[in-house]
Amino acid sequence: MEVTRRQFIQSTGVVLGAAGLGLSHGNKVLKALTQAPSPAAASSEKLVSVFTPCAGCHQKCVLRVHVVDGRIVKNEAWPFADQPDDTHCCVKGISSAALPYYPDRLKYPMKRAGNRGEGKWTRISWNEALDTIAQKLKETRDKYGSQAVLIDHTGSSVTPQAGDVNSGAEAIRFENLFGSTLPDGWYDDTSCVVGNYFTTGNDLEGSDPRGMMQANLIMVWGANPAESAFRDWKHITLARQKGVPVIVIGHLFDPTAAKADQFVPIKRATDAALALAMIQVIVASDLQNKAFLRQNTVAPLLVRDDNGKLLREADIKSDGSPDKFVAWDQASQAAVIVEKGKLGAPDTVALTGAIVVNGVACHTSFQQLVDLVNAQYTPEKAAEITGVPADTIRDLAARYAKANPATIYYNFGLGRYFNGNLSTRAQLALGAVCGYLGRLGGGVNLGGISIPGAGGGYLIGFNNASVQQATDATSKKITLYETLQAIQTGKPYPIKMWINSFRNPIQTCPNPQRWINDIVPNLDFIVNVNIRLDWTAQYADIVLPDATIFERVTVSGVQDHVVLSGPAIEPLFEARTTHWIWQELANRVDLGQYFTQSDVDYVKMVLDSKDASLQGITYDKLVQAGGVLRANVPPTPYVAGASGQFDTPTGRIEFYSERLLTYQEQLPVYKPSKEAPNSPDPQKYPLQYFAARKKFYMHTFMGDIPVLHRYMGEPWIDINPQDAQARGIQDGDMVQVFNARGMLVVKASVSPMVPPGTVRTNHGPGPQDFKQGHYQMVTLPHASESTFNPVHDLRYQLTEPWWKWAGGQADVIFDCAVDVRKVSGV
Amino acid sequence: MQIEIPLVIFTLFDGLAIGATAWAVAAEWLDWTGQTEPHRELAQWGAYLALVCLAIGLLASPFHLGRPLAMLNGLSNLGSSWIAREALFGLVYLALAAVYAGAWLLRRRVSLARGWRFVLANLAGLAALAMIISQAMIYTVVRTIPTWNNSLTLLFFGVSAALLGTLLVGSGLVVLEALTKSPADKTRLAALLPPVVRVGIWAVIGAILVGALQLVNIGATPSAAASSALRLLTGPLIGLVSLRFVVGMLVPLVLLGAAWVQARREPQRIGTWLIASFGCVLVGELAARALFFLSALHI
Amino acid sequence: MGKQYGMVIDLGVCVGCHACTIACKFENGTDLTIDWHRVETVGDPKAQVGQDIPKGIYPNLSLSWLPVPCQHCANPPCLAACPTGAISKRADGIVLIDQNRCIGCRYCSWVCPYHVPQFNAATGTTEKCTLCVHRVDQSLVPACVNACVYGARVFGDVNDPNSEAGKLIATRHAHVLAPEQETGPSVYYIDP
Repeated sequence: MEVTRRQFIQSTGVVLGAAGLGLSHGNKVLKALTQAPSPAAASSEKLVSVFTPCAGCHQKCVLRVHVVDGRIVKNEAWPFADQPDDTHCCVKGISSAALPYYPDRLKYPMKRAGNRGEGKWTRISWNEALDTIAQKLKETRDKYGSQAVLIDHTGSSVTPQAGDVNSGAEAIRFENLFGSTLPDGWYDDTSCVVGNYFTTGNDLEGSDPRGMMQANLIMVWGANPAESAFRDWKHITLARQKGVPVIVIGHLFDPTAAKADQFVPIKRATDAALALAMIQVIVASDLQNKAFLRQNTVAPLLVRDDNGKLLREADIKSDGSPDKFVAWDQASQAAVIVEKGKLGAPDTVALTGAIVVNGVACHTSFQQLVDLVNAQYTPEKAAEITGVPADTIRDLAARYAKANPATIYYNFGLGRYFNGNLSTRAQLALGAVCGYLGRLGGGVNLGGISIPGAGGGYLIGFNNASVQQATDATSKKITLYETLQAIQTGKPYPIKMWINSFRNPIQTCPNPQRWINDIVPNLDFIVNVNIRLDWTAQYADIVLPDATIFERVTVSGVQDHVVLSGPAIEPLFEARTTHWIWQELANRVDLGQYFTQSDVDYVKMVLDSKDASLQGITYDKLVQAGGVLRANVPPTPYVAGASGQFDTPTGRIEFYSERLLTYQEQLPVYKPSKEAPNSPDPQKYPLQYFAARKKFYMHTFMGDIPVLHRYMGEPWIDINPQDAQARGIQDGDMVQVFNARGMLVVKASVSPMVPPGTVRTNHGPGPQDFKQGHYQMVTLPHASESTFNPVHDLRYQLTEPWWKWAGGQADVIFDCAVDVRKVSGV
Repeated sequence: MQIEIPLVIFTLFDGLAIGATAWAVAAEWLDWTGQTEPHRELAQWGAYLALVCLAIGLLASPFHLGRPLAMLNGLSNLGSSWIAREALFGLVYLALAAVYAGAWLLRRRVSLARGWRFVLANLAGLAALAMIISQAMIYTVVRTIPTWNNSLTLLFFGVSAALLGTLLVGSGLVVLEALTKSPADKTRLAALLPPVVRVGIWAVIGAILVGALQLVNIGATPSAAASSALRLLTGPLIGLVSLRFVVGMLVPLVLLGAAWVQARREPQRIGTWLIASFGCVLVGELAARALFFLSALHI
Repeated sequence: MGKQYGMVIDLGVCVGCHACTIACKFENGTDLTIDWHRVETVGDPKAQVGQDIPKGIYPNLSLSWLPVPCQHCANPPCLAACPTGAISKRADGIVLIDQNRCIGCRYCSWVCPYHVPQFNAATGTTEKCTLCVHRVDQSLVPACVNACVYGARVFGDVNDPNSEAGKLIATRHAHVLAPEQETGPSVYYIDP
């Protein structure tokens, strides 16, 4: 039957014949697409399939992109033939087929015609744009030094910071050669990084979610994967179907909670108390995994009573090493020296107790933990803090300990509070107490991030350095906190120019007022490379039209596979890839000699790796195979921590972290955050507030793709019927959400998905969607003096990974209290 | 659902037409055996008014279609579709009504045996009946709309046609009487009015009963759609409901009652009452049809 | 019984992600405001499509979703009602509206218990889900089924007890929507 197809995206219509869509599968039984297109098909005029890791988020879904007559017509999930249960793609990935055809897509370079933020632009040529930028680079360097230039290296065409080989690789190459400033990678979402770092030494502790099939219990704790993490949710769904019970511990009754076998409501930012109380119950019931504790964690290591530090061999022997630690063997009643990184310990090594060694009074680390939880985190005490009844806590603890193994799955939302890193530490301690860390089906796994070496499977050893480091020169690496201080105050050194690629900190980071009023005015020149004029781009001096992920070549590690992608279509209008942009800029600042390679050359360079995971995988082989090859990694799902390599001072899992003594956080404890769970001014701002994930948004973009935007319509705030009634607010009324920092005016949706005392809105809509204000205007500014968290800063000072998610500033984006009132005449 | 203005106009005008045709058929039967044809004008003007109203209604109807120029496609599925059947009978009715009206118009030039005119009238009447039954069935068979899915829908269309047609021909006679010069004709025409008024009163009473029963039935139907419809009718749509019952039925009842009383004393003065009640009934029937669609909530 | 293509949708798996609805739009090029497939929220009665408002009092709440494609009924009321004969049912059970015959009277949308046919003001015709007949004819599953990566949807011959769909219907207490309307839908649902 002939059906006329109408394009609903705003551009010239394409009439597609019925035969053009769908690959022919002859007489195959009805099944999902499983075959890779042959290279011949790739060049056919009718239909081209190209797979592209979705630019949406870190779940790294691979898309099969259908192109007809040079136009993307649809996307679908690419099924890995050898790993079919990893077929996934969310509604945004599907909608990304419309991304290159955004109604407001940037078509050509523009320069600001009025004041910053006024919205007046003039079109300029690429040459003028690049010449101007290059001139500004040189001027800034001459006047202030090259570190006065700040360059952000993500891009519209790459998955931000998700381990893509070419995730800004060309920009990094430039940054190193030029010597610009590079802040530690993350604008937010660093609590889990810090929590992981101090416990296991790895920043992003997460196992391949496929491992959850081997769990006997899954606790989704501080996450909403059903709306925000499709790959993870897929594997949780498969586990559910297998019969694995899923407990959701959370605050909102979101779609994830709706699917739980048990929903445990908990007050925001109090998760550490729950985890610690569960430890208390487990130890009181003698359900802890003693062998694991002895062999893999600091549990048996002795802690000095006088100063809280781990006892060293040097403390008890004159020629003893300060780098060796001490445990106590009960059988021989003697001290046992434990070397860094040497796991294992005999059964007779003491886990608990007070022990005096050569006159030095100590307790085991584990005893320290037990004493803490017995004193401060009994179920009754934790119930007061968390709102979870004591009996429920006991039940959760028993079920968790007996599951053998159980997975704790969490996501960034858990930690989006000033002291959020303690929640991760407490969860990790709980996992360690039950011996689930490093175990298939166990773990305390940060979801959402599908990076190789974390939730994305085995680390695939691309030779990133070959692209990123042309010479020994490096960029100047400081924390984000220092970066913003530098812009605002000129100390430690001035930063005067900013080249931003696709990041939208004015909207994605909390408190846009701080960016607009304090940061932007202090920068002499701002360049924004983007596909649309998002809020940040609106404050630039020059905007450059970027290519989307469908318009460039890249290679990625995706769920144990190497994926060569794109381009599906040529860049539209005058858009150019960031590869080209950096090459052109380099040419203009006397760095051109290092930028002679093509983007395919870069792909070949990173594939040219000595790492075993990439042996035999070349660009040509990838092209032959249709772009997807399995990496040389083990067939079983990656398990974080299974290697037993923990980059901590003891080489063991450190629920007791000596480095945090100064902050009284050597053990995980519960500390309330700035405005959660308790408002700093409960009379004026009694309601907890956050802008949470919604399935139709991918951070601040995608939501304004027309086909998705119609589901969101006007922004709204979810408010519980009790709170609404108390304020005379009815469903559909316009309300103002406010605190001392700012406000927003939105429609009220009276909904029981939030408990009394909390309001929730969507993270995603831009300022143009609001009649007044914006959802970020009530939040605390991060990486600022008022929200400086020394523990986060310490983590940065201790290491210097340029691409690791360092986390020099605390997360505060959910840490917010407000009130709501009805408004009229808006 | 939406107010469906083309259908409101269509059903109003074909209701007028069908009611007028019914009077024409009745007049033909009454005068069938006699020589003098005392009800001649009823038949004649019934025929003319029916044709004009039907034509207007059928012209309005395609405007509810997305592709009105393809409307003839809509005759195809006679096997199961009441819309197809209504369309067919509507066209047959139009043809017969035109020929019948033509027989009256050209009676001096074309001498037609009275028998033929009588047959034509009856055929037109049958076609009218088939059309209104089909029309009512279009809505009655819709199981998903509880306010329609009952036998009161057929009664509604029927009583409405009777009321509209009666007051249409009555008003027509009043105008005729005013324009006629011959005293004998005047007297004869005036004598036709009281029976029209009497039938009109019965029709109004019938309309009140059917209307009230419709509301009761909606209230008694165990369906969320019906409950929502009732809420609408007693809430945002209460204005239209009042228009339907008060202006469209109670006021005409009073006016026609007054006309009936007047008829006993001064037959020549009841025309004003009649025409006034026709105006009110038109408003009321428009309101009734608007309500018919606006309160048609889907399960 | 003859062949009847349809599907089985597991509401326990469906998490309301709307991938199916959007994939349908791209596959079939429907107008922005016309959805051949929709996902209803089963929660608070006032919840619109896309709003996840649960039912109950916090934290004792319930929320689920109901994806609704055309049901491709065994006794389609739309087919009987259509005055033009534009609606037909294929031998494999797929019900289609011929856009060249349709006159846009919208009667089908009145009689459909599932609110499936949608009037398109631009074309003046009423249109609906075709069960991706163009894909089915190439031995592919409909776009909505393909898009559900969670495996909530199984496409097949619902009259064949040996098909995957047939087996699910038999063993999982799958039911249809509005059975009292006696339309014989070919879309079966497994309750959450």
